[in-house]
Amino acid sequence: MRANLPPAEYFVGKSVPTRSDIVVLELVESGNDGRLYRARSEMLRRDLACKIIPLANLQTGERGEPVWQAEVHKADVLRSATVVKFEEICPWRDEAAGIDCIALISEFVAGPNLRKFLTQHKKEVTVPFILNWLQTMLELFNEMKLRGVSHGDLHAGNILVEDQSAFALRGPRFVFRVTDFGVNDVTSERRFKDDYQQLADVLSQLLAAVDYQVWGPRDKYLFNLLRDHFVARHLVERDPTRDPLARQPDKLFQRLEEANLEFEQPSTGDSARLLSPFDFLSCEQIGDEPILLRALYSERFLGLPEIESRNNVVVTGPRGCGKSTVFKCLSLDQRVRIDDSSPEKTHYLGIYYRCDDLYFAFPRYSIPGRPEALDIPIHFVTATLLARLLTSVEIWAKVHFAAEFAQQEGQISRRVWEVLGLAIPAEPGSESFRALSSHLERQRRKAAEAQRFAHDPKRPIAACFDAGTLQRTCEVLVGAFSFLKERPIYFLIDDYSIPKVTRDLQQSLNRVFMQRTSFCFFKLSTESPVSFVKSDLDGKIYVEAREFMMHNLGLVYLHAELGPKLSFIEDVFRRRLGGTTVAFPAKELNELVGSNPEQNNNEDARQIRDGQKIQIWGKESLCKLCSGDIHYVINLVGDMVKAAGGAVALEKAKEQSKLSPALQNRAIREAAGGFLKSLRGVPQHGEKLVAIVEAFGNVAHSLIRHRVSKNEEGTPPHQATRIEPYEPFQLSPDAQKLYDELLRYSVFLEDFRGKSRRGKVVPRLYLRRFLIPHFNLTFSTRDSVELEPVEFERFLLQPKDFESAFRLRAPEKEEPAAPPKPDAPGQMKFPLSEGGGP
Amino acid sequence: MTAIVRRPDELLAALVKPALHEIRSFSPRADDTLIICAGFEDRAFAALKLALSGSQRFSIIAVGYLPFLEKNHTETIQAAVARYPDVTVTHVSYDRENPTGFGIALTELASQRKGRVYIDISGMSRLLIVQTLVAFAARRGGLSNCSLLYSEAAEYPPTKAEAEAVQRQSTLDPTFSALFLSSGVFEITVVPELSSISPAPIQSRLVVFPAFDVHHLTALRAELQPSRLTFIEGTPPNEANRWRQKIIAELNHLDSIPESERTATCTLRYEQTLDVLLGLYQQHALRERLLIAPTGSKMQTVAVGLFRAHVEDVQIVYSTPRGFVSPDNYTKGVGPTYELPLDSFASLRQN
Repeated sequence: MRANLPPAEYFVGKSVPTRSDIVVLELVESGNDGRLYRARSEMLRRDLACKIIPLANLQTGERGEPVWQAEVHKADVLRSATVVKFEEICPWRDEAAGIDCIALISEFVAGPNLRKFLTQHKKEVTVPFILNWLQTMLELFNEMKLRGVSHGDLHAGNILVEDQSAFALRGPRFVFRVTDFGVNDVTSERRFKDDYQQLADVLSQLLAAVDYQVWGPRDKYLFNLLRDHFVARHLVERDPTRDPLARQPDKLFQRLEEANLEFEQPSTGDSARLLSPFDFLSCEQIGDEPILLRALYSERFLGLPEIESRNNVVVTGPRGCGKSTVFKCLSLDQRVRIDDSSPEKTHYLGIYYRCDDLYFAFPRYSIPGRPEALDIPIHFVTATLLARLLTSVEIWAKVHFAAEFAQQEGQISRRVWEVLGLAIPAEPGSESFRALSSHLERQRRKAAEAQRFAHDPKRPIAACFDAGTLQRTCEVLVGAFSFLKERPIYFLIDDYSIPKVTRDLQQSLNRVFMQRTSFCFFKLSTESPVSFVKSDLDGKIYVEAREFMMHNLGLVYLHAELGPKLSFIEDVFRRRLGGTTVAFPAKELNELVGSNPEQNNNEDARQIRDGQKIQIWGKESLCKLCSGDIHYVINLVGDMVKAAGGAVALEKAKEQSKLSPALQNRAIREAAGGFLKSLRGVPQHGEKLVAIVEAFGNVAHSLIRHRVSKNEEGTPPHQATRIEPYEPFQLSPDAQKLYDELLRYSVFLEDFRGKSRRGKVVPRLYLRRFLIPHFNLTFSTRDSVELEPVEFERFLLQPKDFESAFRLRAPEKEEPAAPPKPDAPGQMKFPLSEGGGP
Repeated sequence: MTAIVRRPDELLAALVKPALHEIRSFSPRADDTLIICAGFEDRAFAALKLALSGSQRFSIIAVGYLPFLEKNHTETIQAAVARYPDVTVTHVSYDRENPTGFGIALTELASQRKGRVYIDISGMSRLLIVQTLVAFAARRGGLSNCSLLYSEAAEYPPTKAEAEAVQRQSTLDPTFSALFLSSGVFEITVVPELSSISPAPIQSRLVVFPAFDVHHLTALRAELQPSRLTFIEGTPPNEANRWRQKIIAELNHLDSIPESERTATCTLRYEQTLDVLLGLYQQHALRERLLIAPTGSKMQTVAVGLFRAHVEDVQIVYSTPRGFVSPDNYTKGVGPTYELPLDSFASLRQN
């Protein structure tokens, strides 16, 4: 209840009676017991706060003595800069006007109180803002506890957000201040409120202003922690025996510090574990389990040095070949989480980003007609990557370079705000990486929202980050922190693939991802060579080996020697077989499948020609079946173990290799059927893809049966597991779609190395290795099914017709000695008659 | 006592959900709007028949599908309303292959009249159900003055014998895929208005409603490569149809899919599905990006729509059918028609 308040206008323009240098300028606000004015001291040449309280509202002792004077000065014992202290108490009497008050003089804090801030800047209230506020308050509470001081009337109205930007150069520009210490105690209507309870109330008000759903996982985690632990328990509990953090500001502060980082720590209690060696076949299945990921990751991964090189690299390869696993394992986040990020081992800062995020924010993206909308995807990606980079750098630096980071963070944050072209928010804590990350998350949301109306000229679009913003910001970071000087930043962009990341979207983003500097590199993983666009929106064509390196892991495996492949696959199995929670009855791949080094493709081909099915088994065969798709090999051995009766049955097996060759052979052949079934389910083209690969397989099998490979001694059967066009081909749009899908799902692996028999640079298409047994072929890579461009087109569009035309049904009399001449354009030529023989 | 701030999912969980109730008559007022879809099932027409028998003056928004299928009820609707000069019909087309923004357009059209909006989902595509509910919830006034209508069918193909025959074939031939109603998947559709744009965790969880057409699950898994899966199976309310749940699970090989968990909800009582979705959100959303594929029953899809309307940081993904095997193989006849008033959900958006 307001009582005894003098007229507000009475004081304005008057000097404080005992301090003639102080003139009251304006009313700031009125409370229950008094009024607050802004005043100015000409002597001090600064503004002051002048709180006028009627004497009638002041507390007196039992005999009417003025006990309030001591209360006003009780905050003087506090040294915290957060506290706004009263400098002087001046009586203000004017009997004629009926004024009998005191004036409490304190420094004037420029800025709104938290209540006003919440009303006027609700959108600025973020989780980092709340954390910063709570840390400030707990630091103050800690001193209050030490000195036995309480506030008594803490609320959002007497917590101020002070703007110090007019003078602060080094320190923060905005800080929280707390005022009105003891004022509640001096007034006659005492209504003492518990400081911790009040802190919980203000915290709750702040949390209510946060739009929970728009923030990232870390902020959501902290929101829940603040709400469920601080508001609901720590701050409201009075009994330390019920909650050890109750009334312990130092411990509460420490808990807050830990909470800030603990979200990044790997979960322990319910984390995924390897129950069987064949669990978690892919990186996606492993999910967010850093320890498990580390346990299953082999550094013998073929092609790793090329990925880690200081180049822009586009990595491709069949699904399950380990692209995502490697990218994730190279990221700083992963390395911090598994405690493998010492400065000695950290030669670059890897920032992992999965393009699902782009797919969901920019589905079916097409280039807008409005120039101002062109950079929306760049704004989104720049904001996203920078937010992650800043978070990763902060977490890593706080572990290894805490002093330098603490010293530099504010200065560098200001420079980053500047490079980004963004105004520093007028709130405490904004000169920090946390605030920057949070703000960048907001920018990314703005970009995604703007994209929804990118094609609508009626909707205005704000200025966006340009293609150089990311690089410029990285340059600031690398140049400012001594610990980043020799450590470039690697952006590991996973699954940057058409159609999810559309052609237009890639053309837009390539303006960022194809930039080359000495401090920032982009590693793009894409499903297939045709799922990456080698140009950008400005019409620039990116040339392989000049602007970027293309690294096809499928080809790396296809052409690698047996030794390194075997070393890698054995290491992968060693980690899995030895890493299960329940001991598995084999520790090495050899114990399971044995070794079968004496394999001879020509001999196998002769057996196939004789109508036999060759038996495929042993660890060497597993290497040959692998096109880099290591998950397939793991799954396959898992199927073998299951077929053998599982781990229990293997315990009893006495043989040197616990899985019999016959069982291995059966499982290998069945596995291909599963792949074809999945292929059939591929949207739009599934059935056609299956028909194409079956046509090839059947033709290739007929060549083994009926054609002789005359280029080799001993005239072995013709063993084609690849297609080799004679000439470069220009496919029709329909055929091109199918071709791209075949490569996308790695049904065939495209290899541009080598030339056709006519000396032309053409792609050779190798059949996915694990399909070879399904079509009863051999692993030889020597022979090809050679096709003219028109035949290749027919192969794609009319696979049944192709098969009828090319499949041999009887032995060939002789193979053509010289390569045939090219057809005239548009002329269809079939070397084999419809009946089967030439 | 300090007030505890509630998240949107917690507010939704605490809400007493309205129940579906059967209606035998239905009299829309002059200012009311009935949204219907000209699908090719008999039941797509049931609510309109009820409305025309109860009232001769109201508005209809008739949604037709593109690509156009001759068996759709577009002409039937035109013929039915021809006798009622005060019943106005506005025709709009929903392009299944380019559905972005349709829910919002529908909302704007419906908002031209002040009365109650009745949304008949019986003939609606599942994606359209979600788009519509999300768009209506986001408009001024939210879901107040809105009701949902749903007509059951008399018969739901396939028959048990047909399903078992396909199941046998699937067991014998590992490359065989069961197709009953649709012919494969056109694409995994993502529309911006059902996308979550908040930064998401790296790990993803696909929440999917297994169906007879196994291509949907195959395509969703292949395209999205989720880390974890949750299958919400559909339990038909009618005991005689319970075999469907078992066969669907077997056709989709749910038992052998790693990193997955299974639960089941009634195909009619949407509240059960809504509760499961809320539970999944509370359990997983902090560490996983939730991808929800509304491939279940129509009322399970309503739950997805209401969930997404209030919980925005989940991603809706949809496997759009490439085509349909034959409209003759779809549901036959008409069962009971239900109404679900949505007004109580409006209070949540105000919070």
